[in-house]
Amino acid sequence: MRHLACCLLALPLLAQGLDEATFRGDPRKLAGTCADRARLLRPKDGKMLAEYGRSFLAAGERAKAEECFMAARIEKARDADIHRLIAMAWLRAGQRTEALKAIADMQVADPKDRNAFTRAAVNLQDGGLAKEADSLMERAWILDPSDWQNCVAFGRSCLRKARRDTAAKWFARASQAKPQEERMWNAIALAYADHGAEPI
Amino acid sequence: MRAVLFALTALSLAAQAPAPAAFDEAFFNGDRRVILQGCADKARSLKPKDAKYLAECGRAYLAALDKPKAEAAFREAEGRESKDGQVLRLIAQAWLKHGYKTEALEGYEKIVQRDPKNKDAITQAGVDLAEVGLVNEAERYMGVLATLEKGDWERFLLFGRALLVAGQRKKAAFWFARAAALKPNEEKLFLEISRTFAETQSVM
Repeated sequence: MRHLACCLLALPLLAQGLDEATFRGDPRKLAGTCADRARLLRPKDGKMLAEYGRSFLAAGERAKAEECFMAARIEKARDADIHRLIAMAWLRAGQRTEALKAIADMQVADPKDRNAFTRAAVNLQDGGLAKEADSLMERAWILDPSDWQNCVAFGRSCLRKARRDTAAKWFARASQAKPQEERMWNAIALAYADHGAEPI
Repeated sequence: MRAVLFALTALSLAAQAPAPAAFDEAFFNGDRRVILQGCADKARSLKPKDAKYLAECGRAYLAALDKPKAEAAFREAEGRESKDGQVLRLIAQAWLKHGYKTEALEGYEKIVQRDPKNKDAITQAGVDLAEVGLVNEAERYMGVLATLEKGDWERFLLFGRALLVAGQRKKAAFWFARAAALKPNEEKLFLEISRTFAETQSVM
C-alpha cells in the first residue's frame, strides 16, 4: 500500500519534462531533482544508490541521503567500494566524522580490496585528510606491492595536493614494482605534466 | 686528430641529458622537467609497440619543454597509425594542453579527415576543446558526431559535463536537455547529471 502511494506521488515528477530551462536553474536544486528522478526509476544497484545519496547530500537533503546510504549498504554489505562511495559523499559534504566511519566500515567489509583502499586513500587526500590517506594507502600497498597502477594513482593525488615528498615515495615504489613497463613511465610523466590533475 | 675526435665525442656526450643514476625517491623529488624527460626517455627506450604510448611520451617531452623530442615522438606515432583517431587525438591534445593552439587545431582536424567515423575520438576532440574554453570549435566536432549518431545520449552527456566544468552553463543545459529527451527513463543519465551538478556547484 505504502509502495503504491509512493508510486502515485512520484507520477507527476516522472511525467515532468526536464528541458533546457530546467538545466539552467539552481545547481543545488538540480542535483537533488535529478537524484530524485533517478531514484524514482527504482535502481537496485548498490553503487548507484550510494551515488544518489551523494547527490542528495550535495543538495542539502541529509535525510534522503542517509536513506540511500542505508539501502546501498543493505544491497551490498560486503562490497568495499560501496562504503568508499559513502565516505566520499560525506567528505565532499564536509562531514569528516561520518566519512571516517564509512572508511572504517569499508576495511571491515572487505579487508583485502586493495583497489578500493587506494581509491579511498585518493578520496581522503582530496578531502584534506592526508594522514589518514597515507595510512590507508600503506595498507593497500602491503596487500600487493607489485601493483604499480595504485602507487601511481596515489602519487598523482599527492602531486595535486603539492605533497612532492610523498608523491616521490609512491612513484619510486611504482618504478621499482615494474621497471620494464612503458605504461608506468608514461603514467608518471603525465602525472607530473598535469601537476597531478585527473583527466575529466 | 685523435685529440679533436676525443673533444668532439666529449662535446656530443655533454650535450645529451645524463640518464638518472636511479629512479629513486630523490630523483622523483627533484626538478620537474628532469623527471618528465627522464620518464619519457625511459618509456621510449623500452620501445613501446603501441603508437598511443609514443604519443603520450611526446606529451611528456612537450611538458618538459623539449619540443624537438616531442615532435619526433609524434611523427613516429603518426607514422605508425596515421589513420587511428585515438592516436591523432592524443597528439592534438598534447599540443592543446601545452599551449600550442594552432598545432592542436590542425591535429584535431586530422581526425575528421582520416578517421571520420571514429565517434570516440570525435567526442574527445569536442570535450578537450570545451575544457579549454574553445567552445565554438568544440561544438563543431559535436555537430560532426550528431550527424554520425543522432541518439548518442552518453556522448552528449559527456560533452555537457565538459561544458559545465568549463563554466558554460547555458551551453551545457542544451546538451543535457538533448540527452534527457533521448532517454527520459534512463537512471544512469540522471545520476550522471546529478553527480556533475553536485561536483561542479562549487565553481558556479
